[in-house]
Amino acid sequence: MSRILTVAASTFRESIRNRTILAIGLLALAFVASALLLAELALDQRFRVIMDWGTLCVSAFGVGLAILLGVNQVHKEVRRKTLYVVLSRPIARWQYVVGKYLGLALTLLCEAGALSVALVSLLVLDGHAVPASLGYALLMAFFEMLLVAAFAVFFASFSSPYLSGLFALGTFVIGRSLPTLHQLIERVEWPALKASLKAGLAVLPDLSRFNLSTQAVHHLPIPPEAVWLPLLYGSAYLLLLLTLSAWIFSRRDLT
Amino acid sequence: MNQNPAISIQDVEKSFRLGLLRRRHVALQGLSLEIQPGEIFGFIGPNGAGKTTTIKILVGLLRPDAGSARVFGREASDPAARARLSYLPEMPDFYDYLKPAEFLMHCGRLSGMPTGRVRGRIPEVLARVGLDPAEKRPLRKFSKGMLQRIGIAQTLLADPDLYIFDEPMSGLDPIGRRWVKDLILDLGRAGKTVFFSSHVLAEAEAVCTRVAFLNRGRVIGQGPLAELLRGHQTPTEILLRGEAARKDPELSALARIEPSGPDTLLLVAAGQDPGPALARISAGGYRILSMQQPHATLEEVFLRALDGEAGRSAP
Repeated sequence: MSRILTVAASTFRESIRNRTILAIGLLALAFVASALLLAELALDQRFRVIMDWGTLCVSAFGVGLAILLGVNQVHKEVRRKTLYVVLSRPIARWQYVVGKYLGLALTLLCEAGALSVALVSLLVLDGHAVPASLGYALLMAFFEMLLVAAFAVFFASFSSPYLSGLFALGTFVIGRSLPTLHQLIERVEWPALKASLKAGLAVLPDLSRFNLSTQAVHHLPIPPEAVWLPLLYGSAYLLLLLTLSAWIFSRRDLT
Repeated sequence: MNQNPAISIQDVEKSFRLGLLRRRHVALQGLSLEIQPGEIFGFIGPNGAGKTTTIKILVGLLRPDAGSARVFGREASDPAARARLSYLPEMPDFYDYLKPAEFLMHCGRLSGMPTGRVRGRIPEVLARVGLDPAEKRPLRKFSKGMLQRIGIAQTLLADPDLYIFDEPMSGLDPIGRRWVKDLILDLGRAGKTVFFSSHVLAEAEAVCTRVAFLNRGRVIGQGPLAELLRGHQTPTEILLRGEAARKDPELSALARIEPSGPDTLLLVAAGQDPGPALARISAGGYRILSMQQPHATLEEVFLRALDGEAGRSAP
């Protein structure tokens, strides 16, 4: 366990000191803060605009960072050989993969945490009450980032950074649009094609379950199962992806 | 007590698929080596010979296609085998934003050392490699030579039994190379096993107790350094004053005669007794200016081994 935590701590330290990551974080904060400017244009819809724009920024920047970090973490270490002094020590490859992922998750937690604090502060500054459902929406957004990061790490374990990034982004877009895609598939008349499309979509995660921003914006009640079921479903996905990533990485030659 | 070899490589094969057409490139073919504890072993070969591939197999970064590689009796792919070794990659590069002490703490913890022990060792090893223990700059601001030093510092941290260095002297200035040479000798004196690859033969010659020559993935010669050098004798060189001896038919039957400026150089073939030639010199009244038998260098031994290999593989 201590080796996993050591890899996680160094990954986190490297990420939060990285100037590109810092710049992305600052840009994200500026975008969240711009919700106040947009609210000026919205007249009596100020609360809705701040919530909509704010949660969108938290989610979009978080997912972007998850893909960027997930794809680059291992590739960069292989390319620069920094990985060699790590894996030449008594550490198993799966420990390295899990440690890297935990470091990445910690970085995402900091980024999402800072943006969430900024969003809540904006609401308070603008004189609105902070709905409890916002907490759930932000928690689910963070979990979605973790899931996308796990996909990025998984794709990066066997393909190039560019392809891994594209695959991870594609998974996010399709995962968010899954209910719509299911509706479209229902219109397909050829049974064989319909069945194979359904099977294809069944492999992908339904990320729309992690999007509770509409409920938060409109003060809609969020039943407990709308939180714990996706969390359970996401955790299973996450474990499967990490296991597969570690398995593939353990068999890889580091040339 | 029956002691396991520090390194044991048996019939290792390794190939890679390269390029768009995925052509098979054979990196190692039937490689076998055994290195005993306490040896300073030089792994010599030209670029592309397979030195780094062998080292990567030993430290668990690559898996052999066939054969076995063991470290102190354990399969190299087993993480436990790496508890007793440390590795310096060729031209190392480390984490940009970590400071030296943070990087060494990271390495020490990965080696399984308790935090307190790593903390105590960091100033020691930094001082040993000539870096300021209070250095606060991140590693991305380090020069190539300083990175090599921090790379060596991470190998010293856990005080392992086996040190594996891949081209430890490449990219270093003469002072840096001298420092690495002294360090390897110090490790040898402390009873550690050092396995290092190099194509800087003069420096390898100065530190190794045993060497192996590698070419195109095959060992083409190996043995104790002194034995290899002895086995490659050079002609005895006798320098005579003036040109008179050049036309002596008795002398030319005993040695090769070559002009050397205004003087004459006699080359008595390697392994041949120079006594008869000296007797003839004395009888002819020629004056000896100098006489020497230069010992073969590792470079000459290596080049001869390469020539021999080329001769064997020629159709």
